[in-house]
Amino acid sequence: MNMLPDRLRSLWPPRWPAPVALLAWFAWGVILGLFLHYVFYRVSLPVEPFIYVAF
Amino acid sequence: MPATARARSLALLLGLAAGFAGAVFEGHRAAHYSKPSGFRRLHQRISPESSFYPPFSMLENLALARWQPGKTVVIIGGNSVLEGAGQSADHLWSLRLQELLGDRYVVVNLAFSGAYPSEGGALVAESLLKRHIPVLYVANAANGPQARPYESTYGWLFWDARAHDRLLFNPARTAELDLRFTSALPVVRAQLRTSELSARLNALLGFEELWHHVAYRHFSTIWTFVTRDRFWRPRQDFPDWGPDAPPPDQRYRDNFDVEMIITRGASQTFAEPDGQGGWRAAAGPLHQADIDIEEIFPQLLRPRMLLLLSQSSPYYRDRLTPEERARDTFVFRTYEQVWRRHGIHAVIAGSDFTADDFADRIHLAPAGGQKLAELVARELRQLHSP
Repeated sequence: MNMLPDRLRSLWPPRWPAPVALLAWFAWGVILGLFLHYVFYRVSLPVEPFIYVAF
Repeated sequence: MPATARARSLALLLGLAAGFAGAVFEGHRAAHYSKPSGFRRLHQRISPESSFYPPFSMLENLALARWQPGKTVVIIGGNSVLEGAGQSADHLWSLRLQELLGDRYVVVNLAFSGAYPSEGGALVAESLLKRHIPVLYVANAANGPQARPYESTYGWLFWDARAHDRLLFNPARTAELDLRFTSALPVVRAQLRTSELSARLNALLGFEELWHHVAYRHFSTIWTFVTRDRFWRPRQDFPDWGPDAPPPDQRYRDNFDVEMIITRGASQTFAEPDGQGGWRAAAGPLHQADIDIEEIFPQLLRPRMLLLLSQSSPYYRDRLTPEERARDTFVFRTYEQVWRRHGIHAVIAGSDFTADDFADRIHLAPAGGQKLAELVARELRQLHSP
């Protein structure tokens, strides 16, 4: 039961070099920025509320 | 040495800003090039019937991409009759119109199902005029008062065009809007403000343009009933499945009583007996129609407009009583004159068509589409020769 978190954790190097780690966080930021822009489009559409739950 | 938590947060925020700014940039770029390919009409899968709300720029790009100096753009607006319901994509009346008019004209069919003559195509025609591109605008209408372009399903196109400053100067329209913003019911004011704010935000951030482009070209994230089988597919993969009308012996089978009520309704409330065996126009609707037309259509557009008053199929009109038929003829002629009084060339369309020319009460079969194309080509040549 407790094996999975440990195995997942092992996939994330505990001490990535700073430039690589910062690049990874930056990439996540880019994805979030795109998603935020998409959310503007999504909420402006006059579609049924249940679809918001799905996406 | 690992990055500190503060440095990670900063990298995340910078990435977020960069991603958002990149999307805004791409949105503004898409506004200049995004448009459906192989376009013939706004069929069900690229229209609000399938939750696809093409931005104003997408419609205008369709016209801009086809126009060249020396050509006149013929924008078709109005409802499903002009959209070509009852005709498949290969038998569309607007293709025939293009053939008849020749290559000095560019026909772009921007009619939407259920749209009013003030919506969609009319706004694109305004914008093209503002760019000093020669335009003719064809639309159809029912008798009586007319709706404003922000009063229906397609209202987003008005707000979008307005936020991008693509509309002609029209003081009457501005005054009416100002009045509504200040004096309408609170719920109406709130709706107007929301629509305006949303359009202004989009003019700044370009989210409609980018994500509709993505939905058309790459993938869609909206589940709709009409695209339910593979809703994620880009809308460009969905063909125009609009069918031709069924064979004549299979038409007019449903809802006879309802269709007769609608046929009578085309004139019922717009005329009253004059006491001498004839008819006179009902004052209320006539006065309102005068106000509406004067306010909705800018002066610059009117001499370039052809307005079709769509008649119902003779299958139903022939079943009216002689009195009702006389009233029907009177009302259509009266409203033809109403539009003309405002400097808009109006003609009655369909009064000499046969029942076989219609797919149902109001939509045209391919044969009727051919006749409509001939009528419109003839009238447009009278209106304007390049």
